Amino acid sequence: MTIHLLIISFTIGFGQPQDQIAPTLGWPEFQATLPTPTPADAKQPERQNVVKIVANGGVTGTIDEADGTTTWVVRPDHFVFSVHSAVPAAGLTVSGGTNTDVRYSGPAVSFRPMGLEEITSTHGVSMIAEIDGVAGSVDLAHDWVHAPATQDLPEAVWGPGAPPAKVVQPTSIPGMAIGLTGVAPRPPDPVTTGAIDIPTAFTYFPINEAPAVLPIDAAAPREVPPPVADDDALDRVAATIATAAAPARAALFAALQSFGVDPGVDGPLDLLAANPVGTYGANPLLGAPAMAAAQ
Amino acid sequence: MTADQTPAGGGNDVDQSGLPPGTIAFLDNFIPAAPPGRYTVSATHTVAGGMPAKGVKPQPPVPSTSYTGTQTFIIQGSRFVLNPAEIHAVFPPTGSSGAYGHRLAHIVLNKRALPWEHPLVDVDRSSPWLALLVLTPDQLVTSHFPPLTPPARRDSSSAAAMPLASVLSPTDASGGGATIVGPTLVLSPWEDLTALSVRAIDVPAATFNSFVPDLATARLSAHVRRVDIDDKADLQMKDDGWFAMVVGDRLPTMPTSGPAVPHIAHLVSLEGFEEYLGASQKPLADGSFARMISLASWSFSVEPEGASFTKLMNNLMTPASEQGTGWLLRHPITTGSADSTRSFAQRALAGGYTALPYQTRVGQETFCWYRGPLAAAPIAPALTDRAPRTSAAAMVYDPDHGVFDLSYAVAFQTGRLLALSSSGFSVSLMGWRRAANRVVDTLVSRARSPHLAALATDARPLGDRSVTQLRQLLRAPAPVRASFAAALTGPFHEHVAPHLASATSPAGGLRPPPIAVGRRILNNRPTTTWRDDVRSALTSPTVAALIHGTSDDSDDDDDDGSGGGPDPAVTFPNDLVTWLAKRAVLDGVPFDNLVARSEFLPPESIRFFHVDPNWVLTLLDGALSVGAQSTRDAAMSTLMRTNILAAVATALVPGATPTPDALPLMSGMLLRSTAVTGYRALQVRGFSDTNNGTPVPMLRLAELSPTVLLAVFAGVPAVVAIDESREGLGFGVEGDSAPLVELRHVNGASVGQPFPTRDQPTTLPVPMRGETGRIDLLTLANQITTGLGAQTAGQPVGPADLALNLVRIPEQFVWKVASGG
Repeated sequence: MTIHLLIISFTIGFGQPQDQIAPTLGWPEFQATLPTPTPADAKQPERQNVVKIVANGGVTGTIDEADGTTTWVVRPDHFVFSVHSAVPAAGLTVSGGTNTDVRYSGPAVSFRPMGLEEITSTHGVSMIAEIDGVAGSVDLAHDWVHAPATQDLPEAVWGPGAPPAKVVQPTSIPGMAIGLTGVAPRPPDPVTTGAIDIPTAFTYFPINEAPAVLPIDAAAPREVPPPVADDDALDRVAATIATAAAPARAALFAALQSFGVDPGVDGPLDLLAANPVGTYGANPLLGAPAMAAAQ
Repeated sequence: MTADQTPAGGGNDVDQSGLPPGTIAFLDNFIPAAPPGRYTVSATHTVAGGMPAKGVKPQPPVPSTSYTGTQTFIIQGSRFVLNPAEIHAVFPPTGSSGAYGHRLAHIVLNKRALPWEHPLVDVDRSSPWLALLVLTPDQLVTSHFPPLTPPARRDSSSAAAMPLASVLSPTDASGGGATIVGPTLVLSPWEDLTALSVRAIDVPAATFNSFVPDLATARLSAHVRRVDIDDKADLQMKDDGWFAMVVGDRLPTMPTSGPAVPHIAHLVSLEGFEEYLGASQKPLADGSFARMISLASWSFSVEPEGASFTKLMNNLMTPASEQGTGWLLRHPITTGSADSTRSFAQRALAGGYTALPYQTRVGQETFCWYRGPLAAAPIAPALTDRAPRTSAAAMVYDPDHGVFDLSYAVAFQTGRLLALSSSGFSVSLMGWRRAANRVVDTLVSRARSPHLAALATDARPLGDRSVTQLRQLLRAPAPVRASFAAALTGPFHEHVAPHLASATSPAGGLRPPPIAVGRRILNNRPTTTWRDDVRSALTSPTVAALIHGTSDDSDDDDDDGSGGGPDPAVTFPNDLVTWLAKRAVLDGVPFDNLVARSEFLPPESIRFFHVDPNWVLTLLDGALSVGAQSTRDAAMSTLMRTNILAAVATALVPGATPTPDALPLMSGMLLRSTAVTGYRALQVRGFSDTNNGTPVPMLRLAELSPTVLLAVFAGVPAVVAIDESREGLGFGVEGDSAPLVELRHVNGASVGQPFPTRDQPTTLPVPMRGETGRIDLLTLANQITTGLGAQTAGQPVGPADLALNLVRIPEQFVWKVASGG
């Protein structure tokens, strides 16, 4: 007995060999991948689009300044903005007056396309104000509220290691700090009575000691009978509306008028009776205004 | 700040996140942390350095590089003009005439920080820049105004619109040389207000010195209140439940007899008058005038027998308001006719029907019955099992009288028009219908497919299969895998594999196998037609459950590998459910369709109603008929109707058990009264028993017009109460002659309740400022502080506590069902 066992193995290669590391980018090349200035920033060559300040609420108008910038006009209450950077930060600070408050401190940032790790990447926010003609620094750390803004960012760009990624699946680094969100003046702490239960504290004064009678009642009988479907309804229309039912309609018309209801006119309906199918095309329901209406 | 009191943002129950239902909190003020000014925020991101990763061709470290973003903003509140939308309510109501002699006028602002947005010069920021003046017309003059363009811009409030320059640098335009003092304002560099027009009043010195509050008094005249407004979403109260209130300190002049006394309330800016109103209180020189910016004003009159909440509510129950209707939405009731036709007409009218002119489609004129969704009697659901496809099919014909009832036809057409006017609804509905039809097509196709042999052996019609089986059939991977595996282990193993093996032998060769697979597959050819199968699927509750994402299969878990759960591609979209739920509570339905005749709801009347479920169902059917172009579309609508209505019912009353009638039983009331305007955001509550125990959910509370309020309940309440609004809790004094104030606890477990006990509250005489009618708020605050004793821990009561002690007990009008609930 002879056993022929054939095992065929083959490999189809695709992509770049894993053991080959791609050339890393230089700083100019990597910098070019960051957001570039928009046309609106053309008058300010120094202005980059890497850091953006965005209003989230409270803006009531804008002023177009001579230098091409836009000034927001905001209400003191409800004004909120955020600051975002295209580059993740290892540290966030807010400053003002003599204070500098560290709002976030995390692991160092890497630029994987450059093959660089342990990069110093810090994000600082400050504010100055001109109030009654006097300019000064605003204590952002204590007079304003804010929280670190975080976002999941691609590991292939901001993760440590060498390019290209050895993991084919795109992964992201969760919760990387990219700026501040919810930046707003700190709400005041006014004196308050605390929550007062209205029904207990301000017992409603009943205008009517004897309540008025509510004319709707869950226990009231429901109107019957309901309208019903009938496949011959249009035939009934043809047979009655201009002839047999006409006297009853006339009597009903007169009765309604006597009750002060203006129903319009009670004209002849011979044309309708002659062709109800062509007029309506579908059988109506049959019935009359419900009979058990509350008196 | 008194003992036990806590800051608003200090983590107690009055923080930024929420307020317990049915509660209110008073706050001294809400001073923005950031004063007006020009601010520039700078954000700098700096990168530098770096170490090469392992195994990488070294790159030089990143040179220190900074990216900067800057933004300038100007914090600036309303200073010269107030957006009318920021006024929530005023009291007394504009143009009203009432017994307001013991009531304090006030204005409710939507912006909680508004009274403190502008700091006054050299004054503590707790002093507001706004004050409410309550004056009589003779206390203002208009003769010194600059020439107005057009002249009509001078109004009955004795105010006029004029350039800001005429306010800041006023002159006597009459030529009399009178001294007019304008506010001393410092305009900010960014304020270009040369062309701005403002409203201003000229206040004579005698009026100014006697009636304009000093800044310490003004501080006590403004406060903030926060209320729970979850039940008032339909009343345009979508802010956040925060309101600022500015209260006038003057009790209006109440005549003992004779004509009503007109009053004008002006919300004025105190900015620029600090030297007259501050600690020094330098009086305005005799004979001079103050030109003050008025940001809002309204007029009202005071008379002993005038309107009040009590009178307005009591008026609703008079015969003149009832008009023989029994307070139901219908014609006046007439009874007792022996004639059958007249009796028939009487019963129809009593049920809420009216007769309207009707021009038929052939042009002949007759009359028809019509009743909107607001019926005078409860109506049994009768149209739950079928949906009309056209408005003609929703007509009701009375063969005995030869009269059509067009009520449901109007409902169908209204629903259809509402759907067509909403492009979002129409597009979403047709998208869902296409997706649902694709599901049916896929089901039928796969059930009939000879290539899905493993499942094609199930000869049962689609409608007889369980949801699990349908889902397995619908989701391709599992059945295809199973079918393919069966083919490999069956025909392939039996007929093909042996020939492959022989192909390796010298004498053999790979030849087409003589297999019978083809015939075997052909033997599975379905015996029914495609149309029959589609028709079967479109009448199957299990198919409906599959499309809707619901199932009553007890074994409908994920064990079948089909994924389980609703398929998001075909589940009836939530936005459609929400849209239909709004229509179900008659949102968007034209008023004429609700109230067919104006005499059904005369001025100063209230009418109760039962909602006709058939009218609402037909309204929804009309909406769902949009885009249905074939019998198949109509069949799909019919198939899914019950599930859709159940979803709408759940959206209306979350957690409620679906009823056979699908939609919840609904009832409600229509109020047409000046009370809707005058007592803004009235609170309407329903209870299911006469002991006011269980609240009946409010499905809709909406102001249909400035004087019409609609309330729709989920169910039929046994008690209905209309209360003065919580956020507008008014101020006033008690006592028939000498004004008194009853003290209230300002902290502790009994906060807000009468002090020391409800049965024996402490009352204090209200100190007045001479004969001006103004309450001396500073003295009153001191007296309340003393009266409350240890409650205040020796700290003077502030604006919040003072407001709490001046709250006038809100009033309530109650209806109870006669049967006892």
